[in-house]
Amino acid sequence: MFLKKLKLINFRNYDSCEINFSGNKIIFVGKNAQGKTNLLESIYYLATLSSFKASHDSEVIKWGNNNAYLKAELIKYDTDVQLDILINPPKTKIVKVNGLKKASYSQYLGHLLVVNFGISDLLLLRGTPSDRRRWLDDAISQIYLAYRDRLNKYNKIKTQRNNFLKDFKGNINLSSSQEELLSVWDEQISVTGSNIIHLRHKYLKEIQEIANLKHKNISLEQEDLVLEYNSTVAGNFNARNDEILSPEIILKKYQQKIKEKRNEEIIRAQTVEGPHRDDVSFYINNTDAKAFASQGQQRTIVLAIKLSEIDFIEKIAGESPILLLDDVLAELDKTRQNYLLNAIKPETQTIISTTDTSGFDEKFLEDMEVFHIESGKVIHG
Amino acid sequence: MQYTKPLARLIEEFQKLPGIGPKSAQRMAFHILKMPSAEVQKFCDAIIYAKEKIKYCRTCFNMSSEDPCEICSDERRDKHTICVVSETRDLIALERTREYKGLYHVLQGVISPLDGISPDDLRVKELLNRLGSDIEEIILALNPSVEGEATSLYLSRLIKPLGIKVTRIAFGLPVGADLEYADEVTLAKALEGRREIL
Ligand SMILES: Nc1ncnc2c1ncn2[C@@H]1O[C@H](COP(=O)(O)OP(=O)(O)OP(=O)(O)O)[C@@H](O)[C@H]1O
Ligand SMILES: [Mg+2]
Repeated sequence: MFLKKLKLINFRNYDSCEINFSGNKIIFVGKNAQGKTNLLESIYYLATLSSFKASHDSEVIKWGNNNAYLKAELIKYDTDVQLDILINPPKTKIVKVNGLKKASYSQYLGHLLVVNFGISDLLLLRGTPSDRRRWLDDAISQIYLAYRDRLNKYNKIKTQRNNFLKDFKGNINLSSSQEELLSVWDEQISVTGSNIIHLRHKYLKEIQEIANLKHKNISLEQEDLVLEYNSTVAGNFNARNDEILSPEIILKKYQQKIKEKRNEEIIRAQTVEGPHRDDVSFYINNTDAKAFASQGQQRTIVLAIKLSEIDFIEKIAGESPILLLDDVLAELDKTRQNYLLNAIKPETQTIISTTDTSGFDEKFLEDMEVFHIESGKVIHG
Repeated sequence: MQYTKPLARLIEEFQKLPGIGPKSAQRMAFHILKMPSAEVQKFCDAIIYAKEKIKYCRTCFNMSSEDPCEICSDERRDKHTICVVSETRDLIALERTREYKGLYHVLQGVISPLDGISPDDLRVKELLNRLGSDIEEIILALNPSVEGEATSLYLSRLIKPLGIKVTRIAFGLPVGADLEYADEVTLAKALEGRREIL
């Protein structure tokens, strides 16, 4: 797919800005803190309805304003698609496809597909479980379109359930009507949570061997990569060897776990286990890479995973996603940089941000469409 | 500059209404001040008249000027089926489909610990009291929100042991969509395709 036009109003440090893209390989050049990442973030937001760095929607709105507006015009399957978003917290955002308002996110998602690769991704293995869940959730929500709605639903149930648990004030002796009500929340959270875990299994299984192949290529055939999902309620799932668990089977384990944790949950007034506490592990030749791999090895894993995301989206959607590379090229050594650049197909629209272009090949730059970014303004050429 | 007191007070009152932010409140207040006095009077009368006249039906808790309400006292309605909704406005949406001929029960809300709403704050007891031997089916027509679903699950657990069939509509509605916004066709279809809760 091809992004033709991008428009931002009151998004981060942009007042109002419109960019027309004509090329397939684009580069944003500018000094620090000028708004390069913000532009990539806006494209990412148009694709996923969430930011790769903000935890609340209000953060992406230009300071002193109440709402932000984003628009993208793209070419997909040879036709024009227009996407509009009005971010207006605390109200739910308004999302439109070709001018038509969509009642749920699942009807919006899936039109613009992106893979984002930024410096923070390089730290995926060093980061927290929540960083890894965010990576996984963002990737999955572009593929399985109801996933984002499910996650939102899960979070709402969790909030309600936690509030309900607070009512007991730590007293584990419940009346029968309290038991009945708690079991209603248990059922809701475990049904929705099981679906989430199931889709996470499914996604990891899909990318497992693609990622391993990429990883073998970069590491020159020496290293074998295996992904593993570590669920607090359903145990470990080895994406190569284990069968994907059905939501029904996950549900059984989930409900068992909830029973075991009953008293702890009441005392802490919190939902202590579930997909919001799960994690992903990466094994190189059977060794846990989070604990033991070198920084270079960890970067190779991330690179392999990002490239497998592109391939998988292409396989599912029939068209290449847009690749966003935020500052990341400068952070990679020559070998990995070259591997990445060579792995990007000509038809993959690629948008790169960098503070200076001196590190790039002349040859590579020749084909790029260059935009200069200066304090929230974009200058072509 | 600050608003003069009477204007500030009017804006403040408007802001208490659901979905009205400071800007809309301001717009409405200014609009009212531009209206002829007679029109303003008519508007106030309508509010007070509605508030005085409209009561809740003591059987189904529908809003009505009669008690029992028009639906409960209508002889042609099927007295063996009760459709449970959370608000009167959902009842009205279902009535517009003209497909449903049974009775209603308005819960006046849904379970929401976050807002401090427990089953005791709803018309749940009153619903259970209505479930005599003449009731054959309960249709749960609550919004497919997290809170609506929790309420549906809770009610079905209370009612099923009584040997009454419990079904549920709102299938096919987009997730998170309010019943209020569903069009008539969707609702009619939903009524047709209602499912028994297991
Ligand atoms: N909500 C907001 N409203 C206004 N300005 C914001 C907002 N959020 C961030 N900014 C500003 O945007 C600038 C950062 O932009 P951005 O992260 O895109 O920079 P960058 O060009 O990618 O820089 P670097 O090369 O350092 O990565 C900062 O100056 C920050 O103060
Ligand atoms: Mg940046």
